[in-house]
Amino acid sequence: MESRLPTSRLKPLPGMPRATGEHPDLRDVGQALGELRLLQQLNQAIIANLPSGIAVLDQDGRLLYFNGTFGRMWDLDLAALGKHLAEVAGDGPLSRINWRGEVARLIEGGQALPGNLLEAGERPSRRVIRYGLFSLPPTDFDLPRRLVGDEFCLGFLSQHECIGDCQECCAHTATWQGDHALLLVEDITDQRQLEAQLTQSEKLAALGQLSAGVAHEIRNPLSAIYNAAFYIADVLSDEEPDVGELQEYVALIQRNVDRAQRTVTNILNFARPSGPDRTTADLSDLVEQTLAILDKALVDQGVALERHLRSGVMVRCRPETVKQALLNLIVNALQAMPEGGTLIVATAREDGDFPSVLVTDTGSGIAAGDLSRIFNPFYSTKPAGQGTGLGLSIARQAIEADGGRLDVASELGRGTTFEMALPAAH
Amino acid sequence: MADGRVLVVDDEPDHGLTVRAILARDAVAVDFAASPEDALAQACQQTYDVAILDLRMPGRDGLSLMHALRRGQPSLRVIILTAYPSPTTCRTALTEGASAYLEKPCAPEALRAMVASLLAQSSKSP
Ligand SMILES: Nc1ncnc2c1ncn2[C@@H]1O[C@H](COP(=O)(O)OP(=O)(O)OP(=O)(O)O)[C@@H](O)[C@H]1O
Ligand SMILES: [Mg+2]
Repeated sequence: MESRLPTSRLKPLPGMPRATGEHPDLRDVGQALGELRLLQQLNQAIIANLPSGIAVLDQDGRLLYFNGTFGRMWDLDLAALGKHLAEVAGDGPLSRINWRGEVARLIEGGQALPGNLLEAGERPSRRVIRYGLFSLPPTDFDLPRRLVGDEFCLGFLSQHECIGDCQECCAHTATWQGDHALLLVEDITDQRQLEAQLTQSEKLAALGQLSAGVAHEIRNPLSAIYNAAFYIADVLSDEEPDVGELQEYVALIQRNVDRAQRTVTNILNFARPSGPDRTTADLSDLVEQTLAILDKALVDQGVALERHLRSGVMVRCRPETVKQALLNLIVNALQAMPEGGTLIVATAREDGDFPSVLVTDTGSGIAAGDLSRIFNPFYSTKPAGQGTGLGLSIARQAIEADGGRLDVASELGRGTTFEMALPAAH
Repeated sequence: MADGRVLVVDDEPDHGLTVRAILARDAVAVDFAASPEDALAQACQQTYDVAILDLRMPGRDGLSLMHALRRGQPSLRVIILTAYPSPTTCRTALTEGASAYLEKPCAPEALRAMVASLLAQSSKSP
Protein backbone atom coordinates (compact mmCIF):
# COMPACT_ATOMS: atom_id res chain seq x y z
CA MET A 1 0.00 0.00 0.00
CA GLU A 2 1.62 3.25 -1.12
CA SER A 3 -0.33 5.88 0.57
CA ARG A 4 -2.87 6.20 3.28
CA LEU A 5 -4.18 9.42 1.85
CA PRO A 6 -7.39 9.30 -0.06
CA THR A 7 -6.83 8.92 -3.71
CA SER A 8 -10.43 9.39 -4.64
CA ARG A 9 -12.45 12.54 -4.82
CA LEU A 10 -13.74 13.60 -1.48
CA LYS A 11 -17.24 14.85 -1.69
CA PRO A 12 -18.17 17.58 0.70
CA LEU A 13 -20.56 16.44 3.34
CA PRO A 14 -24.01 17.96 3.14
CA GLY A 15 -24.08 21.34 4.78
CA MET A 16 -20.33 21.81 4.56
CA PRO A 17 -19.35 25.13 3.02
CA ARG A 18 -17.87 24.54 -0.37
CA ALA A 19 -14.64 26.26 -1.11
CA THR A 20 -15.54 28.84 -3.68
CA GLY A 21 -12.41 29.54 -5.64
CA GLU A 22 -10.20 30.99 -2.94
CA HIS A 23 -7.71 28.67 -1.27
CA PRO A 24 -8.28 28.05 2.36
CA ASP A 25 -5.77 29.42 4.75
CA LEU A 26 -3.34 26.71 5.87
CA ARG A 27 -4.00 27.66 9.45
CA ASP A 28 -7.64 26.92 8.88
CA VAL A 29 -6.81 23.56 7.38
CA GLY A 30 -4.70 22.75 10.41
CA GLN A 31 -7.50 23.73 12.70
CA ALA A 32 -10.07 21.79 10.70
CA LEU A 33 -7.85 18.73 10.86
CA GLY A 34 -7.50 19.13 14.60
CA GLU A 35 -11.25 19.37 14.97
CA LEU A 36 -11.80 16.36 12.81
CA ARG A 37 -9.32 14.40 14.84
CA LEU A 38 -11.14 15.39 18.01
CA LEU A 39 -14.48 14.42 16.55
CA GLN A 40 -12.99 11.15 15.41
CA GLN A 41 -11.81 10.43 18.94
CA LEU A 42 -15.14 11.36 20.40
CA ASN A 43 -16.87 9.16 17.88
CA GLN A 44 -14.51 6.31 18.69
CA ALA A 45 -15.05 6.65 22.42
CA ILE A 46 -18.82 6.61 21.97
CA ILE A 47 -18.79 3.59 19.71
CA ALA A 48 -16.43 1.64 21.94
CA ASN A 49 -18.50 2.27 25.03
CA LEU A 50 -21.99 1.80 23.67
CA PRO A 51 -23.86 -1.17 25.07
CA SER A 52 -25.38 -1.66 21.61
CA GLY A 53 -23.78 -3.66 18.89
CA ILE A 54 -22.98 -1.69 15.75
CA ALA A 55 -22.12 -3.11 12.38
CA VAL A 56 -21.95 -1.91 8.81
CA LEU A 57 -23.18 -4.22 6.07
CA ASP A 58 -22.56 -3.86 2.39
CA GLN A 59 -25.31 -4.35 -0.14
CA ASP A 60 -24.74 -8.09 -0.14
CA GLY A 61 -25.17 -8.34 3.58
CA ARG A 62 -21.44 -8.78 4.23
CA LEU A 63 -19.83 -7.41 7.34
CA LEU A 64 -17.70 -4.37 6.62
CA TYR A 65 -17.25 -3.24 10.14
CA PHE A 66 -18.37 -3.99 13.67
CA ASN A 67 -17.70 -2.53 17.07
CA GLY A 68 -16.39 -4.43 20.10
CA THR A 69 -19.83 -4.91 21.62
CA PHE A 70 -21.16 -6.44 18.43
CA GLY A 71 -18.12 -8.72 18.25
CA ARG A 72 -18.61 -9.89 21.84
CA MET A 73 -22.33 -10.40 21.32
CA TRP A 74 -21.79 -12.90 18.55
CA ASP A 75 -18.31 -14.10 19.34
CA LEU A 76 -16.78 -12.65 16.20
CA ASP A 77 -13.14 -12.10 15.41
CA LEU A 78 -11.42 -10.45 12.51
CA ALA A 79 -12.04 -13.43 10.31
CA ALA A 80 -15.71 -12.47 10.25
CA LEU A 81 -14.98 -9.38 8.18
CA GLY A 82 -16.14 -9.70 4.63
CA LYS A 83 -18.33 -12.68 5.43
CA HIS A 84 -22.08 -12.78 5.21
CA LEU A 85 -23.60 -11.89 8.54
CA ALA A 86 -25.98 -14.83 8.56
CA GLU A 87 -23.00 -17.18 8.16
CA VAL A 88 -21.06 -15.96 11.16
CA ALA A 89 -23.96 -15.42 13.55
CA GLY A 90 -24.21 -19.03 14.75
CA ASP A 91 -27.70 -20.13 15.67
CA GLY A 92 -28.46 -16.80 17.32
CA PRO A 93 -31.28 -14.53 16.24
CA LEU A 94 -29.19 -12.75 13.62
CA SER A 95 -28.85 -15.91 11.56
CA ARG A 96 -32.57 -15.92 10.90
CA ILE A 97 -32.58 -12.92 8.64
CA ASN A 98 -31.88 -12.66 4.95
CA TRP A 99 -29.65 -9.64 5.32
CA ARG A 100 -29.04 -9.17 1.63
CA GLY A 101 -32.77 -8.86 1.15
CA GLU A 102 -33.17 -6.56 4.12
CA VAL A 103 -30.43 -4.24 2.93
CA ALA A 104 -31.88 -4.20 -0.58
CA ARG A 105 -35.30 -3.38 0.81
CA LEU A 106 -33.80 -0.62 2.89
CA ILE A 107 -31.92 0.91 -0.02
CA GLU A 108 -34.92 0.73 -2.31
CA GLY A 109 -37.29 2.11 0.25
CA GLY A 110 -34.79 4.68 1.43
CA GLN A 111 -36.20 4.35 4.92
CA ALA A 112 -34.95 2.96 8.17
CA LEU A 113 -36.20 -0.45 9.30
CA PRO A 114 -36.01 0.06 13.03
CA GLY A 115 -37.42 -1.70 16.00
CA ASN A 116 -37.62 -5.32 14.94
CA LEU A 117 -37.63 -7.97 17.61
CA LEU A 118 -36.01 -11.33 17.07
CA GLU A 119 -35.85 -14.33 19.28
CA ALA A 120 -33.84 -17.46 18.64
CA GLY A 121 -31.55 -20.12 20.02
CA GLU A 122 -32.12 -22.98 22.39
CA ARG A 123 -32.83 -22.44 26.04
CA PRO A 124 -31.11 -21.55 28.28
CA SER A 125 -28.94 -19.59 25.86
CA ARG A 126 -31.99 -18.34 24.01
CA ARG A 127 -31.60 -14.69 23.26
CA VAL A 128 -33.89 -11.85 22.40
CA ILE A 129 -32.57 -8.91 20.43
CA ARG A 130 -33.96 -5.72 19.04
CA TYR A 131 -32.37 -4.50 15.85
CA GLY A 132 -32.67 -1.57 13.53
CA LEU A 133 -31.26 -1.15 10.06
CA PHE A 134 -30.47 2.31 8.72
CA SER A 135 -29.20 3.40 5.34
CA LEU A 136 -25.86 5.17 5.06
CA PRO A 137 -25.02 7.62 2.30
CA PRO A 138 -23.32 5.81 -0.59
CA THR A 139 -19.61 6.42 -0.94
CA ASP A 140 -17.25 6.05 -3.77
CA PHE A 141 -13.97 5.85 -1.93
CA ASP A 142 -12.24 3.34 0.29
CA LEU A 143 -12.03 3.67 4.00
CA PRO A 144 -9.41 1.99 6.16
CA ARG A 145 -10.28 0.06 9.24
CA ARG A 146 -7.69 0.02 11.94
CA LEU A 147 -7.55 -2.22 14.89
CA VAL A 148 -6.91 -0.51 18.20
CA GLY A 149 -7.24 -2.95 21.04
CA ASP A 150 -10.31 -4.90 20.11
CA GLU A 151 -11.96 -1.98 18.40
CA PHE A 152 -11.67 -0.93 14.83
CA CYS A 153 -11.24 2.70 14.10
CA LEU A 154 -12.53 3.97 10.85
CA GLY A 155 -10.92 6.62 8.74
CA PHE A 156 -7.56 8.21 8.17
CA LEU A 157 -7.62 10.43 11.15
CA SER A 158 -7.89 7.82 13.83
CA GLN A 159 -5.47 8.31 16.60
CA HIS A 160 -3.56 5.14 16.00
CA GLU A 161 -0.45 6.16 14.19
CA CYS A 162 0.13 3.86 11.31
CA ILE A 163 3.63 3.44 9.98
CA GLY A 164 2.37 2.43 6.58
CA ASP A 165 2.58 -1.33 6.54
CA CYS A 166 1.39 -2.44 9.92
CA GLN A 167 -0.57 -5.67 10.21
CA GLU A 168 -3.50 -4.07 11.89
CA CYS A 169 -4.75 -1.26 9.78
CA CYS A 170 -3.17 -1.74 6.48
CA ALA A 171 -4.33 -5.30 6.28
CA HIS A 172 -7.86 -4.22 6.86
CA THR A 173 -8.43 -1.41 4.49
CA ALA A 174 -11.91 -2.14 3.34
CA THR A 175 -13.44 -1.54 0.03
CA TRP A 176 -16.05 0.86 1.16
CA GLN A 177 -17.89 1.75 -1.97
CA GLY A 178 -21.49 1.69 -2.97
CA ASP A 179 -24.46 1.28 -0.65
CA HIS A 180 -24.27 0.27 2.96
CA ALA A 181 -26.47 -0.16 5.90
CA LEU A 182 -25.87 0.49 9.54
CA LEU A 183 -27.09 -2.26 11.84
CA LEU A 184 -27.79 -1.50 15.50
CA VAL A 185 -28.40 -4.44 17.79
CA GLU A 186 -29.49 -4.47 21.41
CA ASP A 187 -29.51 -7.65 23.44
CA ILE A 188 -32.68 -7.43 25.53
CA THR A 189 -32.63 -11.00 26.83
CA ASP A 190 -32.05 -9.92 30.44
CA GLN A 191 -34.70 -7.24 30.26
CA ARG A 192 -37.18 -9.77 28.92
CA GLN A 193 -36.35 -12.20 31.66
CA LEU A 194 -36.84 -9.55 34.30
CA GLU A 195 -40.21 -8.63 32.81
CA ALA A 196 -41.27 -12.25 32.85
CA GLN A 197 -40.21 -12.59 36.46
CA LEU A 198 -42.12 -9.48 37.44
CA THR A 199 -45.24 -10.77 35.74
CA GLN A 200 -44.80 -14.04 37.54
CA SER A 201 -44.34 -12.40 40.93
CA GLU A 202 -47.35 -10.23 40.29
CA LYS A 203 -49.36 -13.30 39.52
CA LEU A 204 -48.28 -14.78 42.80
CA ALA A 205 -49.14 -11.57 44.60
CA ALA A 206 -52.60 -11.58 43.07
CA LEU A 207 -53.05 -15.22 43.97
CA GLY A 208 -51.90 -14.43 47.50
CA GLN A 209 -54.64 -11.86 47.74
CA LEU A 210 -57.00 -14.50 46.56
CA SER A 211 -55.86 -17.32 48.77
CA ALA A 212 -58.50 -16.58 51.38
CA GLY A 213 -61.15 -16.73 48.72
CA VAL A 214 -59.69 -19.88 47.24
CA ALA A 215 -59.55 -21.64 50.61
CA HIS A 216 -63.14 -20.68 51.18
CA GLU A 217 -64.25 -21.85 47.75
CA ILE A 218 -62.56 -25.24 48.02
CA ARG A 219 -62.90 -26.13 51.66
CA ASN A 220 -66.58 -25.36 52.03
CA PRO A 221 -67.72 -27.74 49.32
CA LEU A 222 -65.14 -30.29 50.46
CA SER A 223 -66.42 -30.10 53.98
CA ALA A 224 -70.06 -30.36 52.88
CA ILE A 225 -69.17 -33.43 50.80
CA TYR A 226 -67.35 -34.99 53.74
CA ASN A 227 -70.33 -34.41 56.00
CA ALA A 228 -72.87 -35.65 53.47
CA ALA A 229 -70.93 -38.85 52.78
CA PHE A 230 -70.60 -39.46 56.49
CA TYR A 231 -74.28 -38.86 56.97
CA ILE A 232 -75.26 -41.24 54.16
CA ALA A 233 -73.02 -43.98 55.56
CA ASP A 234 -74.41 -43.36 59.01
CA VAL A 235 -78.01 -43.66 57.82
CA LEU A 236 -77.24 -46.78 55.80
CA SER A 237 -75.77 -48.43 58.90
CA ASP A 238 -79.19 -48.32 60.55
CA GLU A 239 -81.01 -51.59 60.86
CA GLU A 240 -83.84 -50.33 58.72
CA PRO A 241 -82.36 -47.37 56.92
CA ASP A 242 -84.72 -44.64 55.85
CA VAL A 243 -83.20 -44.03 52.43
CA GLY A 244 -85.92 -41.68 51.25
CA GLU A 245 -84.11 -38.44 51.97
CA LEU A 246 -80.65 -39.72 51.07
CA GLN A 247 -81.26 -38.73 47.47
CA GLU A 248 -81.10 -35.12 48.57
CA TYR A 249 -77.65 -35.63 50.06
CA VAL A 250 -76.38 -37.36 46.95
CA ALA A 251 -77.49 -34.34 44.92
CA LEU A 252 -75.75 -32.11 47.44
CA ILE A 253 -72.51 -34.01 46.94
CA GLN A 254 -72.75 -33.66 43.16
CA ARG A 255 -73.47 -29.96 43.43
CA ASN A 256 -70.48 -29.35 45.65
CA VAL A 257 -68.09 -31.39 43.53
CA ASP A 258 -69.12 -29.19 40.60
CA ARG A 259 -68.48 -26.08 42.56
CA ALA A 260 -65.00 -27.09 43.71
CA GLN A 261 -64.23 -28.19 40.18
CA ARG A 262 -65.27 -24.79 38.82
CA THR A 263 -63.06 -23.02 41.30
CA VAL A 264 -60.05 -25.10 40.36
CA THR A 265 -60.70 -24.49 36.66
CA ASN A 266 -60.89 -20.76 37.26
CA ILE A 267 -57.60 -20.74 39.11
CA LEU A 268 -55.91 -22.81 36.46
CA ASN A 269 -57.18 -20.53 33.73
CA PHE A 270 -55.63 -17.73 35.59
CA ALA A 271 -52.30 -19.20 36.46
CA ARG A 272 -51.71 -20.46 32.92
CA PRO A 273 -48.65 -18.72 31.55
CA SER A 274 -49.75 -16.07 29.13
CA GLY A 275 -48.82 -16.78 25.57
CA PRO A 276 -47.12 -14.05 23.65
CA ASP A 277 -49.77 -14.16 20.96
CA ARG A 278 -52.57 -11.71 20.55
CA THR A 279 -55.95 -12.98 19.63
CA THR A 280 -59.39 -11.60 19.16
CA ALA A 281 -61.43 -11.70 22.35
CA ASP A 282 -64.79 -10.51 23.59
CA LEU A 283 -64.06 -7.80 26.12
CA SER A 284 -67.03 -8.69 28.30
CA ASP A 285 -65.93 -12.36 28.42
CA LEU A 286 -62.55 -11.31 29.77
CA VAL A 287 -64.27 -9.28 32.45
CA GLU A 288 -66.64 -12.11 33.35
CA GLN A 289 -63.80 -14.62 33.62
CA THR A 290 -61.98 -12.29 35.98
CA LEU A 291 -65.05 -11.66 38.10
CA ALA A 292 -65.65 -15.40 38.30
CA ILE A 293 -62.68 -15.96 40.55
CA LEU A 294 -63.49 -12.91 42.66
CA ASP A 295 -67.22 -13.23 43.30
CA LYS A 296 -66.84 -14.59 46.79
CA ALA A 297 -64.29 -11.98 47.82
CA LEU A 298 -66.79 -9.29 46.82
CA VAL A 299 -69.55 -10.71 48.96
CA ASP A 300 -67.24 -11.31 51.91
CA GLN A 301 -66.32 -7.69 51.92
CA GLY A 302 -69.85 -6.40 51.68
CA VAL A 303 -69.18 -4.96 48.23
CA ALA A 304 -72.09 -4.77 45.81
CA LEU A 305 -71.22 -5.56 42.23
CA GLU A 306 -72.82 -3.76 39.31
CA ARG A 307 -72.11 -5.10 35.84
CA HIS A 308 -72.91 -3.15 32.72
CA LEU A 309 -71.33 -5.38 30.15
CA ARG A 310 -72.18 -5.41 26.48
CA SER A 311 -71.15 -8.61 24.81
CA GLY A 312 -69.77 -8.71 21.29
CA VAL A 313 -67.24 -5.92 21.78
CA MET A 314 -64.21 -7.54 20.14
CA VAL A 315 -60.63 -6.49 20.90
CA ARG A 316 -57.13 -7.62 19.93
CA CYS A 317 -55.06 -8.53 22.94
CA ARG A 318 -53.34 -11.25 24.94
CA PRO A 319 -56.35 -12.40 26.96
CA GLU A 320 -54.41 -13.77 29.94
CA THR A 321 -52.52 -10.53 30.29
CA VAL A 322 -55.67 -8.47 30.14
CA LYS A 323 -57.38 -10.63 32.76
CA GLN A 324 -54.32 -10.24 34.95
CA ALA A 325 -54.50 -6.47 34.60
CA LEU A 326 -58.24 -6.47 35.31
CA LEU A 327 -57.68 -8.60 38.37
CA ASN A 328 -55.16 -6.08 39.66
CA LEU A 329 -57.60 -3.22 39.12
CA ILE A 330 -60.40 -5.05 40.90
CA VAL A 331 -58.23 -6.19 43.80
CA ASN A 332 -57.11 -2.57 44.21
CA ALA A 333 -60.73 -1.42 44.12
CA LEU A 334 -61.68 -3.94 46.81
CA GLN A 335 -58.75 -2.88 48.93
CA ALA A 336 -59.90 0.72 48.62
CA MET A 337 -63.33 -0.25 50.06
CA PRO A 338 -62.56 -2.10 53.32
CA GLU A 339 -65.89 -0.97 54.74
CA GLY A 340 -67.80 -2.12 51.69
CA GLY A 341 -69.19 -0.11 48.81
CA THR A 342 -70.03 -0.59 45.17
CA LEU A 343 -67.86 -1.94 42.40
CA ILE A 344 -69.07 -1.01 38.94
CA VAL A 345 -67.62 -2.81 35.96
CA ALA A 346 -68.81 -1.50 32.63
CA THR A 347 -67.91 -1.61 28.98
CA ALA A 348 -67.84 1.93 27.63
CA ARG A 349 -70.88 3.09 25.70
CA GLU A 350 -69.02 4.05 22.57
CA ASP A 351 -66.47 1.80 20.94
CA GLY A 352 -64.54 3.54 18.20
CA ASP A 353 -61.12 2.13 17.53
CA PHE A 354 -60.43 1.60 21.22
CA PRO A 355 -63.26 -0.06 23.10
CA SER A 356 -62.74 0.19 26.81
CA VAL A 357 -63.83 -1.20 30.12
CA LEU A 358 -64.29 0.96 33.21
CA VAL A 359 -63.62 -0.27 36.73
CA THR A 360 -65.14 2.10 39.27
CA ASP A 361 -65.13 1.89 43.05
CA THR A 362 -66.71 4.02 45.76
CA GLY A 363 -63.64 3.74 47.95
CA SER A 364 -61.01 6.03 49.42
CA GLY A 365 -60.09 7.78 46.18
CA ILE A 366 -56.62 9.08 45.38
CA ALA A 367 -55.31 12.57 46.10
CA ALA A 368 -54.69 14.61 42.95
CA GLY A 369 -51.02 14.92 43.85
CA ASP A 370 -50.60 11.16 44.03
CA LEU A 371 -52.35 10.34 40.76
CA SER A 372 -49.20 10.61 38.71
CA ARG A 373 -47.32 8.25 40.99
CA ILE A 374 -49.63 5.29 41.28
CA PHE A 375 -48.31 3.76 38.06
CA ASN A 376 -44.73 3.88 39.28
CA PRO A 377 -43.27 0.49 40.13
CA PHE A 378 -43.16 -0.12 43.87
CA TYR A 379 -45.34 2.86 44.71
CA SER A 380 -47.72 1.59 47.34
CA THR A 381 -49.62 3.07 50.24
CA LYS A 382 -50.43 -0.35 51.61
CA PRO A 383 -48.81 -1.81 54.72
CA ALA A 384 -45.60 -3.74 54.18
CA GLY A 385 -46.33 -7.29 53.14
CA GLN A 386 -49.65 -6.35 51.63
CA GLY A 387 -48.70 -4.29 48.63
CA THR A 388 -45.72 -4.69 46.38
CA GLY A 389 -46.72 -1.59 44.44
CA LEU A 390 -46.32 -3.48 41.20
CA GLY A 391 -49.93 -4.13 40.30
CA LEU A 392 -50.62 -0.96 38.33
CA SER A 393 -47.21 -0.54 36.75
CA ILE A 394 -47.33 -4.04 35.36
CA ALA A 395 -50.93 -3.67 34.28
CA ARG A 396 -50.19 -0.46 32.39
CA GLN A 397 -47.08 -1.87 30.77
CA ALA A 398 -48.91 -5.00 29.67
CA ILE A 399 -51.85 -3.10 28.24
CA GLU A 400 -49.61 -0.67 26.40
CA ALA A 401 -47.65 -3.57 24.98
CA ASP A 402 -50.93 -4.71 23.45
CA GLY A 403 -51.41 -1.28 21.94
CA GLY A 404 -53.92 -0.17 24.54
CA ARG A 405 -54.12 2.42 27.31
CA LEU A 406 -54.72 2.41 31.04
CA ASP A 407 -55.94 5.67 32.59
CA VAL A 408 -57.30 6.80 35.90
CA ALA A 409 -59.63 9.44 37.30
CA SER A 410 -60.24 9.82 41.01
CA GLU A 411 -61.70 12.04 43.67
CA LEU A 412 -60.47 11.82 47.22
CA GLY A 413 -63.14 10.41 49.49
CA ARG A 414 -65.49 9.62 46.59
CA GLY A 415 -63.90 6.86 44.57
CA THR A 416 -61.80 5.95 41.60
CA THR A 417 -62.31 4.90 37.99
CA PHE A 418 -59.75 3.07 35.89
CA GLU A 419 -60.29 2.88 32.17
CA MET A 420 -58.64 0.16 30.16
CA ALA A 421 -58.81 0.66 26.40
CA LEU A 422 -57.73 -1.95 23.86
CA PRO A 423 -57.41 -1.89 20.09
CA ALA A 424 -60.63 -2.96 18.39
CA ALA A 425 -60.55 -6.14 16.33
CA HIS A 426 -61.75 -5.38 12.82
CA MET B 1 -76.67 -38.36 74.34
CA ALA B 2 -77.32 -35.35 76.50
CA ASP B 3 -80.21 -33.32 75.33
CA GLY B 4 -79.79 -29.73 74.44
CA ARG B 5 -80.14 -27.31 71.58
CA VAL B 6 -77.55 -26.45 68.99
CA LEU B 7 -77.48 -23.50 66.58
CA VAL B 8 -75.49 -23.84 63.35
CA VAL B 9 -74.68 -20.57 61.61
CA ASP B 10 -73.09 -20.65 58.18
CA ASP B 11 -73.53 -18.55 55.07
CA GLU B 12 -72.92 -21.74 53.10
CA PRO B 13 -76.33 -23.44 53.28
CA ASP B 14 -75.07 -26.80 51.98
CA HIS B 15 -72.45 -26.89 54.66
CA GLY B 16 -74.74 -25.79 57.45
CA LEU B 17 -77.41 -28.31 56.44
CA THR B 18 -74.99 -31.25 56.46
CA VAL B 19 -73.71 -30.26 59.90
CA ARG B 20 -77.28 -30.14 61.11
CA ALA B 21 -78.03 -33.55 59.57
CA ILE B 22 -75.04 -35.19 61.28
CA LEU B 23 -75.79 -33.74 64.69
CA ALA B 24 -79.51 -34.44 64.43
CA ARG B 25 -78.66 -38.15 64.11
CA ASP B 26 -77.69 -37.98 67.79
CA ALA B 27 -81.19 -36.86 68.61
CA VAL B 28 -79.95 -33.38 69.37
CA ALA B 29 -82.24 -30.50 68.46
CA VAL B 30 -80.39 -28.46 65.82
CA ASP B 31 -81.41 -25.18 64.24
CA PHE B 32 -79.75 -23.68 61.21
CA ALA B 33 -79.28 -20.00 60.40
CA ALA B 34 -77.88 -18.91 57.06
CA SER B 35 -76.74 -15.46 58.20
CA PRO B 36 -75.71 -13.64 61.38
CA GLU B 37 -78.94 -11.63 61.42
CA ASP B 38 -80.94 -14.79 61.06
CA ALA B 39 -78.98 -16.28 63.96
CA LEU B 40 -79.66 -13.30 66.22
CA ALA B 41 -83.35 -13.45 65.35
CA GLN B 42 -83.54 -17.14 66.21
CA ALA B 43 -81.65 -16.59 69.45
CA CYS B 44 -84.40 -14.21 70.55
CA GLN B 45 -86.89 -17.09 70.36
CA GLN B 46 -84.74 -19.94 71.64
CA THR B 47 -82.10 -20.65 74.21
CA TYR B 48 -79.11 -22.59 72.89
CA ASP B 49 -76.47 -24.62 74.66
CA VAL B 50 -73.99 -24.71 71.80
CA ALA B 51 -73.48 -22.57 68.71
CA ILE B 52 -71.32 -23.60 65.75
CA LEU B 53 -70.25 -20.44 63.95
CA ASP B 54 -68.59 -19.87 60.61
CA LEU B 55 -65.94 -17.17 60.74
CA ARG B 56 -66.17 -15.35 57.42
CA MET B 57 -69.71 -14.24 56.77
CA PRO B 58 -71.08 -11.16 55.06
CA GLY B 59 -72.01 -8.34 57.38
CA ARG B 60 -70.66 -9.72 60.63
CA ASP B 61 -67.93 -12.24 61.30
CA GLY B 62 -68.23 -15.24 63.59
CA LEU B 63 -66.35 -13.66 66.49
CA SER B 64 -68.53 -10.59 66.58
CA LEU B 65 -71.58 -12.82 66.32
CA MET B 66 -70.29 -14.85 69.25
CA HIS B 67 -70.21 -11.73 71.42
CA ALA B 68 -73.63 -10.61 70.25
CA LEU B 69 -75.19 -14.01 71.01
CA ARG B 70 -73.50 -14.18 74.40
CA ARG B 71 -74.92 -10.83 75.40
CA GLY B 72 -78.34 -12.50 75.48
CA GLN B 73 -77.19 -15.98 76.50
CA PRO B 74 -74.01 -15.76 78.61
CA SER B 75 -73.66 -19.52 79.12
CA LEU B 76 -73.67 -20.31 75.38
CA ARG B 77 -70.72 -22.47 74.34
CA VAL B 78 -69.25 -21.65 70.98
CA ILE B 79 -67.39 -23.67 68.37
CA ILE B 80 -65.74 -21.69 65.58
CA LEU B 81 -65.65 -23.63 62.30
CA THR B 82 -63.72 -21.93 59.52
CA ALA B 83 -62.47 -22.64 56.01
CA TYR B 84 -59.75 -20.06 56.35
CA PRO B 85 -58.01 -20.63 59.68
CA SER B 86 -55.26 -18.30 60.83
CA PRO B 87 -53.20 -18.21 64.01
CA THR B 88 -54.52 -14.72 64.74
CA THR B 89 -58.23 -15.51 64.56
CA CYS B 90 -57.61 -18.75 66.44
CA ARG B 91 -55.87 -16.99 69.33
CA THR B 92 -58.53 -14.26 69.45
CA ALA B 93 -61.38 -16.75 69.36
CA LEU B 94 -59.98 -18.86 72.18
CA THR B 95 -58.98 -15.93 74.42
CA GLU B 96 -62.36 -14.31 73.90
CA GLY B 97 -64.11 -17.40 75.10
CA ALA B 98 -64.76 -19.82 72.23
CA SER B 99 -64.63 -23.43 73.44
CA ALA B 100 -63.07 -24.75 70.22
CA TYR B 101 -61.65 -23.60 66.92
CA LEU B 102 -62.04 -26.15 64.14
CA GLU B 103 -60.99 -26.17 60.51
CA LYS B 104 -63.23 -27.05 57.60
CA PRO B 105 -63.27 -29.80 56.57
CA CYS B 106 -63.47 -31.25 60.04
CA ALA B 107 -64.01 -34.96 60.62
CA PRO B 108 -67.73 -35.39 61.34
CA GLU B 109 -66.99 -37.76 64.23
CA ALA B 110 -64.77 -35.12 65.82
CA LEU B 111 -67.41 -32.45 65.47
CA ARG B 112 -70.02 -34.76 66.92
CA ALA B 113 -67.80 -35.67 69.87
CA MET B 114 -67.00 -32.04 70.50
CA VAL B 115 -70.67 -31.08 70.53
CA ALA B 116 -71.53 -34.02 72.79
CA SER B 117 -68.89 -33.05 75.32
CA LEU B 118 -69.96 -29.41 75.34
CA LEU B 119 -73.59 -30.42 75.80
CA ALA B 120 -72.55 -32.62 78.72
CA GLN B 121 -70.66 -29.74 80.34
CA SER B 122 -73.56 -27.43 79.77
CA SER B 123 -76.06 -29.76 81.43
CA LYS B 124 -73.78 -29.99 84.50
CA SER B 125 -73.07 -26.28 84.85
CA PRO B 126 -75.66 -24.26 83.04
N1 LIG C 1 -58.90 1.85 43.26
C1 LIG C 1 -58.01 2.53 44.00
N2 LIG C 1 -58.43 3.38 44.97
C2 LIG C 1 -57.55 4.06 45.74
N3 LIG C 1 -56.20 3.96 45.60
C3 LIG C 1 -55.72 3.14 44.66
C4 LIG C 1 -56.59 2.37 43.81
N4 LIG C 1 -55.83 1.64 42.97
C5 LIG C 1 -54.55 1.92 43.28
N5 LIG C 1 -54.47 2.81 44.29
C6 LIG C 1 -53.24 3.38 44.89
O1 LIG C 1 -52.16 3.10 44.03
C7 LIG C 1 -51.14 2.37 44.71
C8 LIG C 1 -50.43 1.46 43.76
O2 LIG C 1 -51.29 0.41 43.33
P1 LIG C 1 -50.64 -0.93 42.83
O3 LIG C 1 -51.72 -1.85 42.43
O4 LIG C 1 -49.60 -0.62 41.81
O5 LIG C 1 -49.87 -1.49 44.09
P2 LIG C 1 -50.50 -2.05 45.45
O6 LIG C 1 -51.94 -2.34 45.28
O7 LIG C 1 -50.13 -1.12 46.55
O8 LIG C 1 -49.69 -3.39 45.63
P3 LIG C 1 -49.92 -4.78 44.85
O9 LIG C 1 -50.81 -4.49 43.68
O10 LIG C 1 -48.57 -5.17 44.44
O11 LIG C 1 -50.53 -5.66 45.84
C9 LIG C 1 -51.87 1.69 45.86
O12 LIG C 1 -51.02 1.39 46.94
C10 LIG C 1 -52.92 2.73 46.23
O13 LIG C 1 -52.37 3.73 47.03
MG1 LIG D 1 -52.67 -3.61 43.62
